[in-house]
Order: sequence, then structure tokens, then C-alpha cells
Amino acid sequence: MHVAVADDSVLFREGLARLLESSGMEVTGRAGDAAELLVIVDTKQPDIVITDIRMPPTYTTEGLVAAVRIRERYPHVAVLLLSHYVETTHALRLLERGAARIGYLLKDRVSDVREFTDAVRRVAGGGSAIDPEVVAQLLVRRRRRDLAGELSEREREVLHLMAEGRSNTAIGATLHLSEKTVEGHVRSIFSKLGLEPTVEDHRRVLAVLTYLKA
Amino acid sequence: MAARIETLHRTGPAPAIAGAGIALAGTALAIATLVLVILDRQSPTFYTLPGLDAGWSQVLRTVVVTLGLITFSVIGGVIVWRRPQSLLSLLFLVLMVSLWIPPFAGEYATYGLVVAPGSLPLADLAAWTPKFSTDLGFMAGVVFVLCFPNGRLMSARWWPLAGLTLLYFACDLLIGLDDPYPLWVGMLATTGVPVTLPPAVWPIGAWLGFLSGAVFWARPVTLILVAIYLVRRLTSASGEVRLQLKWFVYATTIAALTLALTLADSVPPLDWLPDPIRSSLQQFAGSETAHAVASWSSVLSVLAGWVLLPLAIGVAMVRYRLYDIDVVINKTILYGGLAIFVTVSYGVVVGGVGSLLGQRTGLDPVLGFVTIGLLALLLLPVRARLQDLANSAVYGKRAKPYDVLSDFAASIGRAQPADVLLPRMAELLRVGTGASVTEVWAKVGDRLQLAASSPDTKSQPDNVLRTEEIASRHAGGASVEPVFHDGQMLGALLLVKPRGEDLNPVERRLLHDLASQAGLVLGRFRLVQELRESRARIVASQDVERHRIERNLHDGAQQRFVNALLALGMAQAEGGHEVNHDALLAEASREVRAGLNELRTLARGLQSPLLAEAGLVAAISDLADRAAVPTTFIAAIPRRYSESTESAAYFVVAEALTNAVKHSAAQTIGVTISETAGRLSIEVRDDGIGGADLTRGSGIIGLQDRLAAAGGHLTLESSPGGGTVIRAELPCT
Repeated sequence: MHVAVADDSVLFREGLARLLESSGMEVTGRAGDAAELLVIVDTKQPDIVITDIRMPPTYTTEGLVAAVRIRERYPHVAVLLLSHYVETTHALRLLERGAARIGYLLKDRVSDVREFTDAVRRVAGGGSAIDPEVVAQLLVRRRRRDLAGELSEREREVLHLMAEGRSNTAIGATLHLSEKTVEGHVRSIFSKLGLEPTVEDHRRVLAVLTYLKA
Repeated sequence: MAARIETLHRTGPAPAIAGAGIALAGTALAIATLVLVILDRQSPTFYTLPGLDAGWSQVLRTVVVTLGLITFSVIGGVIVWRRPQSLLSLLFLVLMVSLWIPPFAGEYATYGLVVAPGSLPLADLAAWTPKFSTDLGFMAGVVFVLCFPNGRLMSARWWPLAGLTLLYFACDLLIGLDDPYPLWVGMLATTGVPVTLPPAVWPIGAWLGFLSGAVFWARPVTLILVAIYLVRRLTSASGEVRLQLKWFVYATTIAALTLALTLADSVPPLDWLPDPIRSSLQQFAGSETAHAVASWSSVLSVLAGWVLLPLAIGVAMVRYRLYDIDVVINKTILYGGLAIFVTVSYGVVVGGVGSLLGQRTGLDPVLGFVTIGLLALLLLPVRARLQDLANSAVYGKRAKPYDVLSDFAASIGRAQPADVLLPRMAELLRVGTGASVTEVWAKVGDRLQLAASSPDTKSQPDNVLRTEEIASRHAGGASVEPVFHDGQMLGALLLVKPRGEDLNPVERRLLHDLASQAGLVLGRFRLVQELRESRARIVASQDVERHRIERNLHDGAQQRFVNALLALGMAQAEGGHEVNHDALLAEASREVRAGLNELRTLARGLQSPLLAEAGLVAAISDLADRAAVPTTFIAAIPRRYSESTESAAYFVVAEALTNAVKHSAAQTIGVTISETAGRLSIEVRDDGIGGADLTRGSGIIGLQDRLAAAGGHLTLESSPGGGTVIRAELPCT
């Protein structure tokens, strides 16, 4: 799997590349800002791009803008955005064109190497990885309006993991439930929220997130 | 008669030709009339103007009437040209024709029936027409007035008034049928023209004779009603209509006054009046004075009604925006009043006193001197009174200057905020001086700011640099009075008078006195304004500061800790590979330490921990020690101060040091702190390149705001090449 990494901090960039390589991925490009990243994507067409949101020259949303541009030009290139803090508006803007091959995670997540590389593989493989923090923010907003209030505690946990982009198997492993039970919860959630049930994980993410942000 | 709205029409050649035709025809008619007058000259003169012989009286009357006819014709032509489709133009033409006919037809009849009997055709008919046309003119005139200036009545309630004039017209016409011989006709109305009416119609007039009393009163009653109508219309009108009406009312008033005076020697049927009043009225009407007044007024009324009125109507219909009627009215009242005053005084002194002394003829030289002396004495006060009268008539009631001042003093006394007081000041000044515009400018910083104006323009705040620019914003004469307080220029008052008016001495003094009172308020305004600006700067600098801290955290500590996490995560994942494991742990701990360092630096930038713990001297010593340029610090302060004082002092030194290190290229820096007479003095001096500027760089302005908040102030001395000295002073608390 070919990965391009973009971050203005050399230390982090190299550390991240080392981490990915030690997990068996090939880092084919390293960029210090969004312009460099776009050149790398143009020339090397990596499977996935991992980029910081805040980069030179203005240190605002360069990474996000680059991500949107890459998705327009190369829909098959997956994009995983890293940030020091998560913002639901950023996440939702990114997901406007669907949740497939999209990830949005806090930088801190790199500390759990296995979890992080799982997320990278999931996104590169056509799924999504939405930071639990984003999901939590959306849920808080939604719960404040009392709409997801009718879900049970367990269902809310499942909803949370589903929104992060995890598969039923992964959800079952995290919550120590059988896959059948998870499926039951998912069905119940979809019917309670009045959503069309979907099979593919990334469509499910979008459906749930769209519901949550509404 | 359909009421319609007069609209502006694009005028083509047709109206222009019609207008020129009307003007030419009228002028030709006037000249023809003049020729007939000259031919009729040998006819016996009826009455001459008192004070003139018969010949000159004729000349004067002829000239005045001819002038009136030509004026009417020309104005009629202009109106038809410029407003061809207006009902008012039509009425004006009717009025014009009804004025043309009597003099011409009268002279025509005089020539054809008296001077050279049988020489002209239709002379009989010509002798009759003046009777119709006068009434027709009166009717057209009243309807014109009622519909002026927009072709509509003020409200439907006034239609009966138009009906009344029609009734009057019919009655007067019919009553005239009783005794036709002789008719007094012609431009000079000096010749009785023998016109024989068929005897069959005589009974009509005789039968209607009982109406003659009513008809006599119908005319003045109609005129009074029309006057009431005009006044009501004027008071309820606004904008352009009001401007047009003003012109019209002005001319009408003068015409009506002169017309009323022509009645001085007529004896109305006054049987119903009690005897003493009636007999004295009749006695006056029969006197020579009354006759003189009436005769001369008739000349004046022709001038007013036939020259002034059409001119005013023309201006009102075509060019009313171009001329300022207020000035005209004002001056008319002033000079007309003066003329009346001089005439009456002369009459009283010479006539009254002279007759008491038993002098019948000639003017006694002593009496002449007395008269001139009296007039000279009284002229100025009377003029001032008349000017007041004229001003109040034109501009409404103006406050007396001292009312204005005491009003304003009371407002200051009530300690109202400046943004209430300043508009009030502008308004008072305008009301007190009758200015068209007044403005109050306040000095804020090094600029002059428009703080209030009357009438309120509601514009964006305006700024200028110099006093001269204030006046140059207004075309024409603006008076500007600077406002000083404690020898400091704090602003200026500006005043623009309406065109044609000058500031009189009383108003000038008011402007001056108000300016001297305004100092206090403008000073207050400036403080408030500067405080407001300083607050805005503080908020802005807080935002900048917050942003800086966020950036520092993000690029510094946060990044370090993420790197440490990354290393730790990898170390954890590596597990068994020992070599990498130790290196990764070392990297993680290095990054955490670096992050902590960054946090410490940041925290010290926010607030020196030393300052709170050990005080100003210790904290500044620490600053001086860590400065990148060798810095000496001399402190002569014996004690600790309040947190806000110490903190303000600390930041002055910190910011000044940062600036010196960054920008001055200094070799050495000296910091001195001392306390004298309850005030803390701080001086930071460097030997660098100088040229620093208070207005540049937000850091120094931020310090100024900070010091101002603590009750202190800051000065900067920095000449290019001469190093920089920043001095701050603040009260010890």
C-alpha cells in the first residue's frame, strides 16, 4: 500500500512515516505543505494521503482544502485528515460527497499504533474513519435536541461506533457482543431513527452522520 | 372644471410658438392701447393724482398700465411655452385677456364715441366689454388662486367659494344693466362714454337693484375667504408646493394690501352701523387724505397686481427653485416698513405739529430739522425692530440669544452625556441665529470629528485635519468659531446663514459665547471618544494576544506532545525490538521536556510568576538578565505596590525591552525605576538607531492604553540615530 504524508513538522512527519513503514506500508511521498502534497498526488498517485489540516502558509485549513481538491480530481485516492483538534463543521464539509475513502482523526490517535494503522487500512480499503470525538460532539448536539434520546444506552454505543466507520465485526469485538446481536441493534437503531438500512459501512456512516447533524 | 395634476411636459416647438405669439400679441395690444390713449388725450381728465398735475398723472398711469399689460403678456407667453397643458396656464390666459380688454376697448370706445364719433366700428360694443371682462377676470383670478400651484383645490370643501365668485359675476353683470350711461372706461377711466342700452333691458337691472348691497360686500368677502384659503394652504403645504405658494402669497399679499387702500375714499352702504362710527368713517372717506391714499394706491395696486403678481406667478410656475423667496420677503418687510415709518413720521410731524403751530403752507426750517433729527434718532432702533419682525415672519420664532445660552448652561448643569448635549448645542445655535446649517466639531486625537449637526445629517462620522477644511465643506459663507478650553483647542462651531443674510452682532456674540461654553462639553466628548477608541484597541489587542497564544500552543507544546505520543506508541508497538525501543523512549521524553519548556515560556509571557512572588524589582532584574542586549537596571523603590501598578510597570519594561532588542540594534540598554511624590517613574533608554514612532506599532499604543487604565501616561523620545527613551509615569497605589 502506498502512502503520502503531509505535515509541516518534520519530526512528526518522519515519525509518522516510520510508524507506517514499520506496519508494512510504503511511504512514497512526504510533503511540508498542501502544494507539495498536491504535486506528490499528481505524480505518484498514492493509495492514501495522510495530511495535517493546519499547514503553511496561513495555518488555517490548507489540508482540508487540499483534501477536497484531491477527492474531486482522484476519487480513488483515500484521504485521512489529522488535526490537533476536531471540528464537526470540518468533518461534515469533508463528508459532503460521501464517506467512502475518508478519514478524520485527532493527531493523538497515532499513539495507539494498532488502532491507527487499522483506521488507515480501513480508509484506504474504501471505508471511513471518523474520530469518536466528532461523533460525540454530534451526539451531544443531537441529544440536546432530544432526538436520539429514545435510543437505549447499548444502542447509543453501537451508533457511536457505527458513526466512526466501524464494521459490525469490529463493533462486536469492541463491545464484546456477537455479530448477530450487533446486527439486531443496528436494525433497531435504523428503524428508531427512521433511516433506510444499508449494508456498506461507509454508506452507513454517512446515513448516521447526516442524521446526527440534521 | 376638472381638477388635474399639473405635470412637467417636454415642450416642443408648438408651445414655444404659441407662447411667443401670445407675448407678441399682448405687447402689440398694449402699444395699440398706448396710441389710442395719446389720441384720446384731449378728452377731459376725470381725476388727477394728488401732488401731480393732470398731464403727469396721465403719463404715470399710462406707463404703469402699459408696463403691466406687457408684463402679463410676456409672462403669459412664458407660461404657455413652459407649461402648455396646465389648467393654470389656461386660467392665466383668461385672466390676461380680461386684463387686456378693458384698457384697449375703453380707449377704442372713447375714440369712436367721444373723440371722433362714428369713426370706428363696433365702438358701442367696445364700450360694454370692460364691464364683462372685469368680472370675468375676477372670477378667473379667484379660481386660479384656489387651484394654485398644482391645479387642484386644497379640498372639496372649498368648491362653494368658486361657486360664490360665479354668482357674484352673474349678479354684477345683471345689475349693471340698469343705468348704462355714462360708463367710465379706458386706461385712465377718465372719460364718460355715452352708451345707450336698449330700454327694454333696464328693468332687469332695476329689479335686481336690491342685490347691489350684497354684491358690494361679495367682493371683499370673497377676497377674505380666498386669503384664508391661501393661508391655510400655505401652512399645510410642504416642499415644492410650499415654495411655489410662498412666491404667490407674497405677491398676492402686496397686491391685496394696495387694493384695499384704494377703497379708502369709497363710502360703502353702512346704514346698519351705529351713527358715530358711520359718520366718522364717512367723514374720513370724504377727506383729501383718503382721496390721496386711494388715488396713489390705485397706481400701486396696478403695479402690484399687473407687474409684481404675474412675475411672481411666472417664477412660482417655472423657476421657483432658483430664487430664495425668504430673502425677498424679509427685505420687503424691512424696507417697506422703513418707508412707511419715514412717511408716517414726516406726516405726523409736519402735518400734525405744523397745523398745531398754525402753519398751513410750506415747511418751517426748524420743523424740518426736528423731523430729520427725530428720524435719525429713531431709524436704527426701528430698523432693528423691523428686522426682528421680518425674521419672525419669515423664519418663525427664534429663541432670544440669552434664552439659548441659559438653556444650554442648564443642560450642562444637568450633566447630560455629550452625545445628547452636542446635538442640542447645534440645534440651539441654529434656532438662535436662524442659520440654515450648524455643526459642532470636536478634536479627538489629532483630528477634528463632526460630533453633531443641525439639521441632523445622520451621515457617517466625518474627520478632517485642520479647521480651514471645516468651512470649505460648505459652499458660500460659513462662520467658524474655534472652541478653546484651558488654552487648548478642543473643537469648533460652524454656522451657515441662509443666502443673503449676514451674521448680525448679536448672533455673532451668541456664537462666541456658546463656543466659550462648549469647551467643557467638547472636552468631555473627547475623553469619552478617546476612552471608546482605547477600549476598542484593548479588545482588538486581546484578540491578537489570544491568537498569538493559540498559535504558540499549537506550534509548540501541542506538537511536542503529539510527537512524544507518536514515539511512545511506536515503542509500545515495537515491544521486543530493544534497540528502537530505547531510542523511541528517549525521543518521547525529549519531546515532553521540550513541550514543558515551551509552556513555561508561554506562561511567563502571560504573567511573570516572579512579579507576584518577589515584586517588581526582582521581576525586572530577571527580565534584564535574560535580555539579549546587555541591560543595566537601577531601581530606587522602597516597597511593593498594588498588583495593577506593578503589572503595568512590568509590562512597560518588558515591552520596551522587547522593542529595543528587536528593532533598535542597541549595544546597551538602561532601565531605571524610581518613586517621587507618589508617582512611579520608569525609564527605558537604549543607544540604538532611534526613529521609533508612537503611532506605529500596536505594542506601544497597547502600553499607552494599559497605563491610561492605571492613571498614568507614556512619552517617547526617539530621534533618528539618537537612541530611544521611553518614559512612563503612573500613580503609586
